[in-house]
Amino acid sequence: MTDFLVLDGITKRFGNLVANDQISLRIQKQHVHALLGENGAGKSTLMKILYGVYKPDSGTIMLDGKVVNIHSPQASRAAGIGMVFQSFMLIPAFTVIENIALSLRDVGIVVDERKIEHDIREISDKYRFDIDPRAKVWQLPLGAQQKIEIIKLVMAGARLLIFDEPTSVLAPHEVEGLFDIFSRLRSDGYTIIFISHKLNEVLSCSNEITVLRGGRVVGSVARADATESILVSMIVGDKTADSRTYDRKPIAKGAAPVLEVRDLSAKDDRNRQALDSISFNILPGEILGIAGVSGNGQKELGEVIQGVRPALSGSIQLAGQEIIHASIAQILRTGVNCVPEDPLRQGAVPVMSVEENLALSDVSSAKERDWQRMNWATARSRASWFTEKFGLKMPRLNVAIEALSGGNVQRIVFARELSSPAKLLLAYYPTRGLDIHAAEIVRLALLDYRDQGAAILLISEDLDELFAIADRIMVMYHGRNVGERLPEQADVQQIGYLMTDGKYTPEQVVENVS
Amino acid sequence: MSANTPSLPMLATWQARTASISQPLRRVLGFVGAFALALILFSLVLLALGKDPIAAYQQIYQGALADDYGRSEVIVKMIPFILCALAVAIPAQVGLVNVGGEGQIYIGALFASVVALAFGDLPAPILIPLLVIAGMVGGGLWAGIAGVLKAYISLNETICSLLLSYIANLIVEYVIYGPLKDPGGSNWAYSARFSDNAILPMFGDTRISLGIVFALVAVGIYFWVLNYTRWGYKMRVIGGNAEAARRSGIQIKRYIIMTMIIGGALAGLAGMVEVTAIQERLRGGISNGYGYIGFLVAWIAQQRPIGIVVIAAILGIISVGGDWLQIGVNLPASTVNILMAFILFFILRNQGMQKKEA
Repeated sequence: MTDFLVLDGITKRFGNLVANDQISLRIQKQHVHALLGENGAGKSTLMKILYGVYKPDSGTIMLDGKVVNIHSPQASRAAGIGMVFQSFMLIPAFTVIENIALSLRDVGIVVDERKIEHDIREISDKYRFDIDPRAKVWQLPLGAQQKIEIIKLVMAGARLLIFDEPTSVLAPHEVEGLFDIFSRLRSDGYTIIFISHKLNEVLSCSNEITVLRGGRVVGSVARADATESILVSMIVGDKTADSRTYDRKPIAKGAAPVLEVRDLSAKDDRNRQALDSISFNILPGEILGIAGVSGNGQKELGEVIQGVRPALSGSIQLAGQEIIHASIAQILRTGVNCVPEDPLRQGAVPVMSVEENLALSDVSSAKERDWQRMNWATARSRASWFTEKFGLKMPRLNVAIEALSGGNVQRIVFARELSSPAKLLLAYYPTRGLDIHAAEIVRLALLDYRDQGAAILLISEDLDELFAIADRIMVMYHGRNVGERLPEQADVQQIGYLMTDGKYTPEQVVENVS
Repeated sequence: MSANTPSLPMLATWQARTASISQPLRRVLGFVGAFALALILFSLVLLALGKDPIAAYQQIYQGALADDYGRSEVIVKMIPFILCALAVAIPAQVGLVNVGGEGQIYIGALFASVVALAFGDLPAPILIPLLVIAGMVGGGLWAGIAGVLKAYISLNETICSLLLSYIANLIVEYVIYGPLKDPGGSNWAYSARFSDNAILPMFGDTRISLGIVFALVAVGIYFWVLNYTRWGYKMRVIGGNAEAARRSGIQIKRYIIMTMIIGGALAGLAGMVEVTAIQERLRGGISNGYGYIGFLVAWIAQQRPIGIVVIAAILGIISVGGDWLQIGVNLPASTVNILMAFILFFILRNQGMQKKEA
């Protein structure tokens, strides 16, 4: 076996952030090579470099024994690299044939549909895709659309196929089918890179597994040598819970919970089950941290509590009041503040000034009537409050918020949401994209807010952060609550198992010891 | 200016040179520049028609600005222009495109006419407020149809309000040929003349009616609501980012319906002013395209209150002066529509470039 793809010392920086740090990787011909890692580990950046979207700052790429210069997606395709993205590049109103004709370089002026149809049928039969070339794409399920993307790459002459989290769009029975396709492609000479966060999938389809963390390669293991426990320790690292330097406040025993969620179920945007009878509660003065690989229902959970997404069943009690059918405005008035996942899109008005955006949180307040004058002084004080209390400099107030960096937008939305009291604060990734100093201040502000008696639901991808400031950690997996741990008693490995597998059993511990 | 924007080299240098000038000044300069380009291009059209552009512009000036009569006629035109611009600008704040000003004018005029004909005996101080209410209810109802359909079944309000205009026009046609046809008017298709009590008071011996007060008060309220009330703030939030508005608990549907109704009510008021001050009866073709010109005014002014008044005045001048082209330079009065189109074109282009720069 020879190395088909060799990456040597690939480094890519975005400003101060090193997304890929001296990444070296060998991928053998006719292998399925899995790339594992948490969000932000650098997988996507590396794949975008391979696909010619980003240019690396340094490092070389060798394909099939030759150094290649991948300066554009065209160059990447010409070198024989093909990528199946998470969102498909298909035109729904076109037939399969028309979509594939679009991707071919040498179709000519008159499209020879018969020839293309013949080729599609040949590939479809060979890999048992069962695709009707004359069907319109919108009529086909997502699994079939993914197969069209594969046909496109094969017809375009790709030899290395990259799949970016291909199973995220598939139903469980389709996942098996995809892995069969992998092995058939492999025996036909194709090399496959498979990106995933799911351990069981990686273990069931790959030949070799490389783990990335913090932009670096942690290591590569052959499938035969890999176990879940080895992979979990590689993914989460040797983090221990004692990195915490924040004060913890004992929670009043027997206090009535601020938020009590019972058997809550909901669908996601694609109409799949996102929350599956989840139950938990949060006490006043408590931070409940939600750990989980993204896409396991965290986003939908917050949205259902806010009233932005309808629930299918279950109950949500906020301060003893049932809010499952309440309107967004009613829920906000009951006492919920929210630092949204995407502050600019969900919590700000891009064309408005910072000052005007600081007023957004009081539009639902019941105290003031619509015809009343806007209270700009109060809005302005929201930013200065944050500056005074935490010494974090705020940007100018009279510029349009869209002109600011993402980190600044985040600070402003954060300052606004924490400047008024609430019973419950929903905080999505409040430190994502902030520098170390600003992130530290945001954490202190969250603790301060908690100490004033608020219950906080903290959704974060950063396990260190959850261990540092959460009073309790709940792990979400497939929309369920698969375990709650106190940070001082849990270790990162346990949480890692729960996140990637949904369970933590003694056998895994034994395996871990051996 | 981003490097990849295709533009003329000369223009690029000019833009580079103006880059150091302050934002508001640049906006004014850009506006004046766009306006000048439109005038130049219109001159070329006139030359191609074998007319002297200088004489034509002189004629417009003579007709619209040289004497008190011309100037008063400009103000007469500004009444429907301002009201119809507000009918577009208010829904535009929440991101809606109301192109149905024409229909809202007709229905407002129809409602006002019915009241004027039915209650013509009432004294003016009672009748005129009733006419105002009737006109606004008519226009508001008509626009409200598009608003409700938008809010509840996501029907495109642009198409809907446009098509409703045709229906409104036909309803008025039916009424003036049928139920409201003037019994004493031989075969003319119009209603009976309104009683004197229903005629809006005029300023001096001009044709400027009380309508100008309605229009200016409406602009003032628009300005105040937009900038100083929570109501206006919520509208701008919806227009700026509907998702953030929804997540902030703003009831978007209610605002969609309300802004359409209020916009339509102002267009309906314009229709009421037209029948009670200018025509003194209901007839076909009363709108004269005011709904569309109002749309031009609102978009050129970028929905800004002061801008609406200024642009309404400019288009008023062109419109009044245009009527004189026929007499002076022997061109059809509608020739000025070409000039208006050029102005809109260049100003929209200018706004587009400013957006790209930002």
